[in-house]
Amino acid sequence: MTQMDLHLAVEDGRVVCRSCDEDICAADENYKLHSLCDRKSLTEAGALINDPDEYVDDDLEFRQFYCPGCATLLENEVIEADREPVHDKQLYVD
Amino acid sequence: MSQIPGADKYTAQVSLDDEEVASDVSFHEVPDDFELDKVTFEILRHRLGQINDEQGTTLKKVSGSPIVTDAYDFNVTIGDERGETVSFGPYVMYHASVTDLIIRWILKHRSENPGISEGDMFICNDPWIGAVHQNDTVVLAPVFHEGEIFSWVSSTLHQVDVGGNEIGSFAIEDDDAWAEAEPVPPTKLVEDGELQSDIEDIFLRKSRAAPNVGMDLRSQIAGNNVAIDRIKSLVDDYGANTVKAVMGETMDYAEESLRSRLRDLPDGVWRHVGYQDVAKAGDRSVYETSLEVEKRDDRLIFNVDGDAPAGVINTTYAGLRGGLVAPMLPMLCHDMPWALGGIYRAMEINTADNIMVNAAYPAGTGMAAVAGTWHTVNVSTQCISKMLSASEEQEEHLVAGSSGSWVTMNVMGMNQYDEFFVTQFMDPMAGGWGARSHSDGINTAGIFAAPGGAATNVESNELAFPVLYLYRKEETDSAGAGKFRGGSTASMCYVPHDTEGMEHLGSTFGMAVPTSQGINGGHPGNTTRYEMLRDSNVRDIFDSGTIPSDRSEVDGDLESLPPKYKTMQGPDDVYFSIWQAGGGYGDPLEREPERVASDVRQEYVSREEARRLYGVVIDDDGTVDQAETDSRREEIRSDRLTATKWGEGE
Repeated sequence: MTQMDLHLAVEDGRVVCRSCDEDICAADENYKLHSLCDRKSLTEAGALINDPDEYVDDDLEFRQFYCPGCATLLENEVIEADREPVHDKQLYVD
Repeated sequence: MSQIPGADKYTAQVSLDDEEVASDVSFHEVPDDFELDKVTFEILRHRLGQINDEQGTTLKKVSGSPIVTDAYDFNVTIGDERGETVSFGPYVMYHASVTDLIIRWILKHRSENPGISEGDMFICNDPWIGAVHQNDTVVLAPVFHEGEIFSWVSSTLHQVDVGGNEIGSFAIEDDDAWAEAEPVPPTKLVEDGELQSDIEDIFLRKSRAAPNVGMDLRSQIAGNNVAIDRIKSLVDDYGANTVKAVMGETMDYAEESLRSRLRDLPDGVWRHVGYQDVAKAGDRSVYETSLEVEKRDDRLIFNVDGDAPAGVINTTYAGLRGGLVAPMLPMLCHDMPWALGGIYRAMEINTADNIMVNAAYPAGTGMAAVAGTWHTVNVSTQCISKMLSASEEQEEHLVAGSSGSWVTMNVMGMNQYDEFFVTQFMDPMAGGWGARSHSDGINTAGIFAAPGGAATNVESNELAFPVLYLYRKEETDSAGAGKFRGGSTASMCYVPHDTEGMEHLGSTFGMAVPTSQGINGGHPGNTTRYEMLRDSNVRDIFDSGTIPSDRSEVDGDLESLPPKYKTMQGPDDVYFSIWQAGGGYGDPLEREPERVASDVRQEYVSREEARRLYGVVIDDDGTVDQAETDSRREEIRSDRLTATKWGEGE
């Protein structure tokens, strides 16, 4: 098992949850596309986060990605709403 | 890189062939068979660091600008004969990361005419050649030994105003360099040890703060002079070959140490998309940069793309490279010499042409240090931190997003001494750092790319400028939530004092989009804000013997100011700004409840956010209600499991 981050590892060519061993996806795939995803307004990320509508016309959102097995919060993303989740971490593991 | 015919000459010199240097210039080089013993190496590399430290201290002692003396927005470098950086100070890192580009340019374009001689110093604030932005003026000097260029030293600091359309040289209503302070390519400011008054006048004539800039230039010259003297003494004591061999060995040591560290990390690729909001006054858009950091064996490859240049939020190649390397130094290179000449050898940068973070002339770059370069630090921080998170041995050195933007506040007017003043508040040096894998981020730690930076004292500001602070304080709920939370930021609130008011120029990002990102489930820190409470009753409150401790205690007409603004502040207008805290690390539901309770008791976290984000319920006495906490956390986990995968259920 090769550590990928705090929550994920790569084992036998698969991304797995380190907490519950949930098999999430192949090692070269974007784990975010195979996780549970909440799409929220930016203001839900924290009490002192402004409503972006006050300043810009772009549609932005706060995404949270959870392990489908144990609901651990794997990663967050602050991004324009029309963009696919960024494949932010990928190990080159045989 | 230029869009203007004939301006390609003014481009950063990434490499240099000796054939491009005038034939009468010779470099001191160490013979191939020279042997350096390890003890001498250890002693002298630290001696060079100490000389560098004294260089910075001298600069601080001479400059009268609080930007330098209090906030340490400067840096100093020592390089080898071709300008490869051997040592720099613990101040703003990206000031130090550009000098090799400028020195190569000087060697190529100035060695023939006007020539490079002992006792010369060159001034440069051209972002396309290498300065991060026009305010960050660089003064560079060759060090000669027996007629050969032995070394280079440089001093860079943020000069408060170097000309252009707006206060502090931040042309927030414009789109290009024509509105900004004109870039000065390397020009001989000092010749044979004499400050050239005609060149100095050209530079000072443009500034709204000529006396300050004049002192700053002298502080830079003084710093360089001290470094030159000490290097020459070192050469006298140990011999030129020994000192030069130490410089080379220091860079080799840094390179090999970094490559060794990289070999211990897993190969892979890490990506991040980051934003700046609002390119100029009146704009309502966000602008992105996408960074991919690929680690293969002992190399880091940076692939950069993003939106085209816009408004004043851009940076040049010099600022891009400085922004990319800045997070590497504290996280990857914390235990090795920060000899950039060696560290750069393990990096490869591939960037799209003419984008926001690699802008072609004449894009607006007058704010680059606090716009495009800062933004580059943010995206690089995310990729480097996530890379370290893949290593059990190295994860302890990652840091989540820190102080995600600089909250520029330039003001000018008549001060309490009936004199004209112009300054930039340096209080945002008290932003919060990101969380780590083992502990919370440091509250009001400062700027990640400026480890030696410090917030100006309130009292210093009140002494020098016509301001009276209501408060400067840490802000509840500013830190990004997480298993380990980010460091909290502070805010400031002041009213004009003993003046009729002042003119303001504000410029920041991270107001529409938080830019201190968390990692591994950590939440981002807060967003920035500028507010003006017009025609307030603050004088009545003072008259009653009270000093407000929060802006909510003051009545007035609230005006929320946008990320790029100009306005006037009247004598009773109360001004407020908040900077960015650090991002969190890990799932907030995994934070020990007692740590949350402690945060609530210390007002770092509110009861409401403790329950909403951390799932921790706090009793009236400030202790954890364990049963309610267990129930609340189970409720949050159950809610999470009702979410769907990307593209499903929409």
